[in-house]
Amino acid sequence: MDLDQFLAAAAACIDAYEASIRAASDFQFTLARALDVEPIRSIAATCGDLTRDLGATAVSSARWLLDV
Amino acid sequence: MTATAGLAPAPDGRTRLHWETTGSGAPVLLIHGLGLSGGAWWRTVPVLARRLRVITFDNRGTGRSQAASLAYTTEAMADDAAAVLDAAGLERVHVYGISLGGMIAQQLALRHPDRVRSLVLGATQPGGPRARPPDAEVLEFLGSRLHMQPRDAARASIPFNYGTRCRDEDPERIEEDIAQRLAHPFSEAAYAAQLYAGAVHNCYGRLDRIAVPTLVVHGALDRMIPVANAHLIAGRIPGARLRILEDSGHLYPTEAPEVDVEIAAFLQALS
Repeated sequence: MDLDQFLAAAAACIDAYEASIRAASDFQFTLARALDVEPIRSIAATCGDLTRDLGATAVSSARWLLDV
Repeated sequence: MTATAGLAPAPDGRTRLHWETTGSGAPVLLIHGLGLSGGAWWRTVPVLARRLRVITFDNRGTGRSQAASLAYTTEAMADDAAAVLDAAGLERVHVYGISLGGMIAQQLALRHPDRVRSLVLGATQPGGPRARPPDAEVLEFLGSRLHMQPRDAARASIPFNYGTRCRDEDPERIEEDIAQRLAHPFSEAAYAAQLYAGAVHNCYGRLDRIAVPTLVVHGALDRMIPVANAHLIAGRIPGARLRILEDSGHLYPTEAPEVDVEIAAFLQALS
């Protein structure tokens, strides 16, 4: 595997990870909206925020390091 | 009846985004930059609203919008923008973002491609290792601004936001901007959170996936976000047009208001 192939594979992995983060945070937000009971709603919304924003930071860093 | 203003719930159900709309025609969503509310588009809205329906909103943590999270990302702020479109009942719009708003616009086009009809990316950067950072003096100012009073911060930002021609020949226009900015103060926490969003923004590697007509606008004398970033973005988005404003700095709508007419023409031609 040459460098270009490695970077393409790494970029695909990062894309897949990003998609999973998005699915997970969307699920938590959906749960938060559906369960109109405190503190469950707030906990689910906070978890969704953290999943999305920490995940986005990790994905950004990985793309930065690999320049993909 | 179509609503003309409202509070849009963000995906987390707790963040609320104040939005407004004016004019009629093809819709264009405006996204403003660091610490500024939708009201900061006051020069641009009347020009675009002659032929277009213009939607502005306050980014989370600014103006009349409320944020529930401590840290922001451009991903979260792009999802906010999509939530504003939902609240306004709009499926697909032109999107014009400036500075941090341009970064949010990039994310919106990548995360919600079906919602974006065209892009105008003003005075912004793509993120990633190839993006050109501002000089050390600007970085020092951005850090120290956290602890300044709003009036002092607005004054101290002048050399970084405006080119020399505007500072010498049109100081009254800068005073108008400052008056507008002071009318909509924002919290230190929101400023820090938005600064973080800009710092970790990274779309460079994926800009070639943007498939809508794109216009990149940048002031050649921009110190906040060096003009090299406009060349990077325009070189990466297929078919993107690049418009460099030779005498302008970061806040080019104040320095070169005629560009709003060009942007309106670009959007209208696609409508």
